[in-house]
This record gives sequence, structure tokens and C-alpha cells, in this order.
Amino acid sequence: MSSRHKALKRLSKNKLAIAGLLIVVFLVILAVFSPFIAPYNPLKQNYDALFSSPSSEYWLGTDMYGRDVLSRIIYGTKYALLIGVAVVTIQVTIGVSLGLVAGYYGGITESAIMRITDMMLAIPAMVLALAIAGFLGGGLRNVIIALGAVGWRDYTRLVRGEVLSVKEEPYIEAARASGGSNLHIILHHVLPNVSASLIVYITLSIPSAILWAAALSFLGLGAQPPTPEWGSMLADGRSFLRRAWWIGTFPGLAIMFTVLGFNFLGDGLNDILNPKTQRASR
Amino acid sequence: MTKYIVRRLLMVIPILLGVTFIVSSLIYLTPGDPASVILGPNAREEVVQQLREKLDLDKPFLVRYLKWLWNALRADLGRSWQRNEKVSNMLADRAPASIELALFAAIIGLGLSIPIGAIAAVYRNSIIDHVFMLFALFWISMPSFWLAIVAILILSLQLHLLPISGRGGPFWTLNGLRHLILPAFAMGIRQVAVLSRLTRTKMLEILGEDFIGTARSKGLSERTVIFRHALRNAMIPTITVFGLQIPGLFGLSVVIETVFSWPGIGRLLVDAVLKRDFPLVQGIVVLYTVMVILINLLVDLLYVYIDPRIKYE
Repeated sequence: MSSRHKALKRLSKNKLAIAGLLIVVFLVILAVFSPFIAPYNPLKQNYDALFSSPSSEYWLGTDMYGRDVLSRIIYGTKYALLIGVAVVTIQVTIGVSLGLVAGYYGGITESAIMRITDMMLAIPAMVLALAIAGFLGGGLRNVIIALGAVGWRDYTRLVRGEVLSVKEEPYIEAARASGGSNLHIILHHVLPNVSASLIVYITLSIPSAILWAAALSFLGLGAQPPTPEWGSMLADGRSFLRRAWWIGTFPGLAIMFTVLGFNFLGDGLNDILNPKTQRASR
Repeated sequence: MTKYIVRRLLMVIPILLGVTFIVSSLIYLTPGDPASVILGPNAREEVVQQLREKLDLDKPFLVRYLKWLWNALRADLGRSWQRNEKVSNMLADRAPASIELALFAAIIGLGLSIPIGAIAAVYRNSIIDHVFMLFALFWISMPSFWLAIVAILILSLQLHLLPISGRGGPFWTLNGLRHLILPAFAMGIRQVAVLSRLTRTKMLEILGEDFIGTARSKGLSERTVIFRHALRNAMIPTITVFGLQIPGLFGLSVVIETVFSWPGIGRLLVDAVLKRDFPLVQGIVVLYTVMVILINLLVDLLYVYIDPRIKYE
């Protein structure tokens, strides 16, 4: 308990992490209470106010159907967060299980899992996700499945590496000697000891899932109209770039703000939980 | 060295077999029957059946895969379902544009990030350092396709400095270069953000090492110390991560090519996926994979030139 207490104390001193946390909390509030916060119905078309530029009535303007851009962005928060969490949940479930199994059992099991991971790493993730989402028939659900099915490989490598270093520790030996089953040892002794890196990686995977999902929606594979999803709003904005710059500009800023929040939080958590490790690539 | 290259090339074979196997199985994800999808809902059943036979859709998966593989080994990737053109010809037409774009994006990425990271580290905690690193943080969080749209809005539509989209010819012509600038920057800037942060961290680490102090106390000029001793060492992790980012760069190219109507394989892939043109998708994904593998090999070989301590057996 006291180590958790210490981590909380370090968290409160880390400005970056606090800023990130505040942004994420703000986004969650927006997502949960969007019906109360948004000034208009995000789907309501208003043919008297097509392409209105930002004004006191429509703060961020209206789109080609006269829908309020601000309200659509506020409702879009829900989709962004849901996508981020759902994608990462799938990735973690597949990736961590495979990584734990590979690292703990070793031998042929490990080689087989790691060879498959290598193959997956050779295919550009976005390219594969695009193909999977497309063949499944598009739509938000299929985008989530595609990104989840593609992005687990980093978790497998991360967890396997951590397990290999934890495996030889005396307390694992002790747990085995006292008759713990493999599953019990993996879940109660190995997993908790790899969780610090995992928490950081999860926090940093959510924003990239949000970015990629927005990109897929932008390409026309994700959210279908009239869903107020940021990526597809950006695609609308691109078609009317000359006429109404605000339609695409503000959803883009919303994506950036969200991603920035999670990145701050992830970087901050990394400083707190893994003081020694270097931040490599993302 | 030759032995190492040959061994690495041999290791490519199982990976390619696995990748093509995975990609070939993607067709089974399609709900319903691809032949009826291509012909639309009003097609007569016997026409659909004919197409199914023509496309080998009635054969078991393994037969189709092995047949594809056998043809692929002879550079025959089948024909596009939509346009009835040879996939290999379509790829050969489009690949140069994509390679050109990716290459320039990579040059921008590496070419800007190393000096930016180094300057930020040398002038640590100065205004320059803070401004650079703040920009880097924003750029990492920015959707590249949005940045591309904003750049088109400002530079092309408002200021009329650069063309909006399309390719103006190969990069050595003025028109080609003018068309290339925006998409290459939109693609490369993300690498700049990631890699400059990394270069800075590594530079700071190395500037604190003993051998830098030794070099300084030998009376070497600060310039020599920084360029010859510190930067050269700091570049190694940067290049490693650059290699790891290559698949991401290609993934990004799909989006950027679409935004700028760039006639490369990325945009072709989006079209192919939306129309479920299976042989074309298969061909493009395999081509991307081959390019990733080859570039990673090149990156590994690049180490030898930067770090004389590394030798491949």
C-alpha cells in the first residue's frame, strides 16, 4: 500500500502528468454529459444556417447541413474515448496473454508466438488495419476490431521481455516450490511485476488508437454519416475546404487536444513508474 | 559482410510466406460472397457462379493460396477484379511515386530531427530548446492528415504558394518538386517530432560521459567534440528508431497520398479496399511488406558506416 501511496505523491508533483490527467478527466466529463453541455442537437440539420461561419450563435460554425460543429465535436468525444479504450482492450487481451505465455513457457511455444509476432511487425499496421476493416465491411465496430487485431504485437514483445527478466527471480522459484500452478504464478506473481511498463504503454496506446481510427474514418471506412465522429467530420471538412475552413479545422484540434492529454499523462506516468527507463520510440 | 546480407535475405523467405498466408486469408473476412459483391445485388445467379469459378473462389483456401504463390514467384500477381489490369503492372506504374514521397519524407525526418535534437541538447534549457521541444510535443499529437489539410488551406488556397494536390512529374523537375513539398513535409514532420526528442535525450546523455570530458581536456574545439564525438554516437539510437518507424511511415503514406491525390500505391490501396478488389489489395500489402523488410536491411547496414565498432559476421 505504501508504494502506491508514494506513487500517488510523485504523481501530484509531476506537472505534466497532472495536466494530462486534467485533460483526460475533462474529456470524460464532456463524453458523459454531452447532452447537457452541447448547445444543439448534433444531428439536427438546419437549412437556414448552412456553412455559417463561427459566430456568437454557432461558436465553431455549422457544416454543410447546418449542423452545429461545436455540438458535434462534444458528442464526438464519446466516440473517440470509446474507440481508444475498446481498441486497447483488445490489443492488451491478445498481446499480454501471448506475451505471458511465450515468456513463461519458453521453448517451441515461445518461438512460434514470436515468429508470428515478427511477421505481423513486417506488415505496416495501418495498411493491414485498412485491409481488415475494409474486408469486414467498414463501420466503427470493424475499425475497432481491425486496430485491435493489428496492434497487439507490441504488447507481446514488451510483456515477453519483462517476463523473461522476472522469471528467474527468487520469489517465482518460491511460488513454484510451494506448489502454485502455472496459471496462478502467471496471474499473481508475474503479471503484477510487469504492470508498471504496461500501464505506461496502455496510456500511450490509447491516443495512437484514436489517431488511427480517425484516419480510417477519414478514409471513409470508419464511422458512417451522420455519426459525429471526428475523423469523418474532418473528411467533410476536406470536401468544403475552400468554402468553410471551420468544418475540418476544429475536429482536428479536438483530436490533437485529446491525444496531447493522453501523451502528457503517459509521459508523466513513465517518469513516475519507470524512473530509469528511456522513452524510446512510439 | 556478403555472408551476413545473404543470411538476412534468406530469413526474409519465411516471413514473406507467413505474411502472404495471412493476407490471403483476409478474403474470408468479407461477409457474404465476393463475387456477388463485385457484380452487385441485381446480378443473375449463373453469372455470379461463372465469376466465382473464374476467380477460383470455389476452390479451397490452400489451393488458391498455393496457386497465387506459384504465380507470384513468376512476378504474376493476378488481375485486378475491378479494372481487369495486371496487378503487377499497376504496382509498377504507381510504386515510383510512393517511393519518391516516402524517400523525401524520410530525408526531411532524419535531416531535420538530428540537427534540431542536437541544437536543443547543446543549448539545453534555453529558449530554443523549449520552443523546439514544445513544437515536437504538439506535432506528435497532431493528426498528420489534419496538418496536411491546414497546410493546403493556408499555403495553397490562401497564399497560392504551392499546388493543392497531384503529382507534377518526377522530383528533379521544378513542377514535380513544387508538388512534392507539401505531402513530403506533412508525412515527414511526425518523424521530426519523434526523432528530435530522442536525439536530444541521447545527446544529453552522451555529453555527460567521461570521454567527452577527455576530448575537451585534450583541447579539441567544441565543434569537433560535438560533431565528431557526441553527435555521431547520439545518431545510432536515432537511426534504430527511424528503422522501427518505417512501417508507420508507409501507413501514414496511405492517408497522405489520399489527402493530396498523390498517384501512389497508398491511394490505390484505399480505392482497392473500398471496392474489395482482393488481388490488388493482396499485391499492395505484399509490396509494402517487401519494402519494409528491404529498408530495415539497409538501416542495419547503415550502422556499419556510422559506428565502426559494429561488424557483421
